[in-house]
Amino acid sequence: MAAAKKHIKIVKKRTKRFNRHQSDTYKCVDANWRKPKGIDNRVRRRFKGQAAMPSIGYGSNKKTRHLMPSGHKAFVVHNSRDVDLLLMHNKTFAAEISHAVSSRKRVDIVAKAKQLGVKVTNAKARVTTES
Amino acid sequence: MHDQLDYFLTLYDSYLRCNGYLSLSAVGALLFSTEPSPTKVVLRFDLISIAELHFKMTEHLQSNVSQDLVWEICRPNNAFLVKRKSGGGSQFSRDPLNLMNKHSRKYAGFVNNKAVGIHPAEKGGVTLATKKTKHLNRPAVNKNEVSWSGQKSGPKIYKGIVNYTAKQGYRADLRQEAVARASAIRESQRPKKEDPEPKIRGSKAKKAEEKST
Repeated sequence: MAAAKKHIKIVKKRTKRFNRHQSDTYKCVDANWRKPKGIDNRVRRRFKGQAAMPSIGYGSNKKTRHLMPSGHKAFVVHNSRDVDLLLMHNKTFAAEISHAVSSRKRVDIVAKAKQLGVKVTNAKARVTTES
Repeated sequence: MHDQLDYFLTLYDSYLRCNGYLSLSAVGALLFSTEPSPTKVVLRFDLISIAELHFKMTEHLQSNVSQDLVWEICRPNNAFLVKRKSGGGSQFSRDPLNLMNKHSRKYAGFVNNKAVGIHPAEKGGVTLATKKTKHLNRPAVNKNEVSWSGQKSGPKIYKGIVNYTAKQGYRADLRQEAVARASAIRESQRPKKEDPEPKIRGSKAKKAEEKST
C-alpha cells in the first residue's frame, strides 16, 4: 500500500456544526443551517455572543481540501476494473468500496488493490467474520 | 482488372469534385449510369469493393476533423470517462491508450493522432501500444503493439519503450509517463507479501492467555 504524497498539515478551522438559529428553542425548528433573513435578526447582524454563521472563511486550504487524515482522496470503486484506474494515482487516491458490493466481490477488489499498491479505506468491511 | 482500377479512380475523382456530397447509394447509381463503361464491369464490383471504395472516399474527410474539435465534443462525456463526486470530484479515463488514466487532452488516446498505451502482458511482461498515423478511423487496424517478456530487466524495457516512442519523436512529451507506467505495472506483477496476522489485544488476549496456561 502506497503512502500518500507529502502534504502540509491538514487544518480544520472548525469542526463543530453550524446549527440553525433558535433550533435549540423550538423543536419544530430543525438544526440544519438556514440563513436568518429577518430585518432585526441578531444572528444575521452578528451581535456579540450570538451563534456564528457559516462563511467562506471557514473553508479548508485548497491543498488539503477533501484529504483524508492519511493524505489520500477517496475514490469510490464498484469492481476491480475501477481499481485499475488508480494504478498511477495510488499516492493521491485511495479506493473506497461502494456500499452495495457483496463480500465475494470485495475480496477480489481488495486483492487487486494490494497488487497495485492502492489503499482501500474500507477493506475490512463485510470481509472479516467473527471467529 | 486494369479497367476496374481506372474506373475506381475516375469515380474517386468525381467524388472529390462534388465536394463529398455523395452518399454510398449515389455512388451505386453512378456506377450504373456512367456511360462508357459496360454494365458487366460494373456488376463485378462486389459488396466488399464498394465498401472499400466508400471507406476510401470518407477516410480523408474523417481524418480532416481536427483533434481539438473531437476533444471539445467528447470532453463532457465519452465512453471512457469515469466521473466520481467523492474526494472533491475526480475524472478518470478507461482509455487503453491513456498512460495516466486521466481525463485530459494530453493523455486522451482516442483524440490524439499519436498516442501511447502500456499494459501488463502475460508472465510479468509489458506491452506497448501506439497509434499509427494512417487509418485514423479504423481503430482495429491502426494499432502497433510491441511486447517485452517479464524476464527482461526493468531498465531494458524502459529503454525499449523510449526507443520506440520518445527517441523517434513520437510523443516525446509522454516519455516520463510511459516509463513510470511500465515501472508501476512491473511492480504490480511482483508477488506481494502476506499481511501479518493481527495481534490479539485487550480482553481477547487475556482469554487466550488463560486458555494456554
